[in-house]
Amino acid sequence: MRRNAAFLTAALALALPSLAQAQTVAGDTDSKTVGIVGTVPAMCFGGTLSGDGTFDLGVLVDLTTGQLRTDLAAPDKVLLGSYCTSRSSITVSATPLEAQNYVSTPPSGFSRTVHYLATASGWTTTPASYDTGAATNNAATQTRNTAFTGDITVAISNFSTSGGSTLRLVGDDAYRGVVTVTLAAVN
Amino acid sequence: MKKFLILAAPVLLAASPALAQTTGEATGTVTIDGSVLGRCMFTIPSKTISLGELSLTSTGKLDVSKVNGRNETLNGWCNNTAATMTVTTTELTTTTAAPTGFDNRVDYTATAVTGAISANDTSLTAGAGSASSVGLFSGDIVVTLSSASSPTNGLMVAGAYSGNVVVTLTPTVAPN
Amino acid sequence: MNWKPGLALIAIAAFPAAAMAQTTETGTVAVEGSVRPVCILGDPNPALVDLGQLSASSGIRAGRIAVIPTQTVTLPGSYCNFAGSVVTVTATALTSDDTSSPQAGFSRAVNYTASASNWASGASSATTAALRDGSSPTANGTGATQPLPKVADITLTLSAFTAPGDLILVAGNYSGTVVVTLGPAAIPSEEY
Repeated sequence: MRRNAAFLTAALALALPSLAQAQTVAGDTDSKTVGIVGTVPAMCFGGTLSGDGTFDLGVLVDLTTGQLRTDLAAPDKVLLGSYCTSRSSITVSATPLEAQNYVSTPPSGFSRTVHYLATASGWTTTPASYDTGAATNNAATQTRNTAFTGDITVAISNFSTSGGSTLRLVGDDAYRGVVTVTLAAVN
Repeated sequence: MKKFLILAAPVLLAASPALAQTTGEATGTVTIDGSVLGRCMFTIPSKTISLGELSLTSTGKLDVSKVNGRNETLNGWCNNTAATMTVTTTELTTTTAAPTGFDNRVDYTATAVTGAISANDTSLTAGAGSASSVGLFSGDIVVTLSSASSPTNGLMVAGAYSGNVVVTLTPTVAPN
Repeated sequence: MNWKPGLALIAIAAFPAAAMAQTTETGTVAVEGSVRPVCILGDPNPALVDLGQLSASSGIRAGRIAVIPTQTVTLPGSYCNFAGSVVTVTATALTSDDTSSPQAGFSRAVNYTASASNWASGASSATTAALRDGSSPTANGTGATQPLPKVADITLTLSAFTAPGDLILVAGNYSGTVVVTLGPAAIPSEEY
């Protein structure tokens, strides 16, 4: 009888092995982690220009005076769906309206160049602006400190004759200037 | 009045033939015969070897170092010179079936040693091992495990495993 | 009357031994051991999935999620030595390291489906459903129970990469994780 009791005690001790296990022993559950990485570059998309790419000003001069009209205007252009995936800067630059055929220096009393102000708004709080007749254009570049998507409105205004408003413009059916709007992503 | 001795054991009472009367004194002889049966006995007939965790943490396979070298000691005696000792080893098994890649069985060899005499058996083959002549002896019988293996050296199935080693002492050689 | 002393031979004898069966004695050493229940997952290969650029560079979908091919990760030699195990997948959406709330029209999260197979019948899948600001990024999925001990190469596939609302993705380095867990299946009575 005593022998049987001793055997039972040994069996009970065997039934509780897990309590004595160290914490570092493998258990009945295991987990492993897989990492996934990818990148999205800082990039900008300049948008899709509404309509064609031309501000058509028509006839630049008052036909009775031969001088620059004071009521020049053209509808705004819109760059639709522009975006930058990060902080960005918007820069406007413009070249004056110049006669494309009459390229030599005009005689006294005449001008072949029209200045104007180009603005790009809707991107930043202060629109970027460039005056083709100004010596410096500090407002030409504006920055935005977040990613953004939206429409950029490009407008031209404040036309003036280079050299003075009393000068007449040389006749040329092709006066041309170019407005460039640049979005640049900042990393 | 003389009394006759009445015996409980079966007795043979033999009446002697009538003796010629002799002169002088008379001598009576009582012969006592006995015998001792050939017998073996275990004074410590039961022990348990607890192997603990059988698998290696690093691989999940059999850790033979948990088995090999483990031992326990029985104690017994045999009183005749013809006594023999045999070992019958049963493998460790657990009830859960072993799919491909797994084992649910541990084979091993058990060796019983008393004095200079040893007998062994492997669980790989059924039945007892060869008998060893142990003769007249009394003392410890040390049972040691060795040569542990698993059938495919696969992952060990979880569960409780049990087997045993039976040491048999036979007092006399069985008559042919 | 005279009593004549006689001699009687009294013998005590036992039955001859050959008439009795011999007795063998057995001693038993019980041998006991155990194998603890264990699940081990193989180290994932690859451990890091690099999707490269997540957005399209040009064309009509420039700036939005590109078509990202299905990715495959292997956890080789995974095993459980007991019956009744299950694989659980916990997937966390990829989010940009720019943690600021994204502007209108943008997402800083990329969702996907993670699916672990070759353990039990079917697969364990989880599809993330993060919002564009990266909130609620985690999804869990548990598969069928494997009724036998098993050793196998578990396959994890990552697929169906999308952006919430298919919005433009904010720039940055994106990261997410998938945690694969192998362990005992929950006792049915405890499930809701």
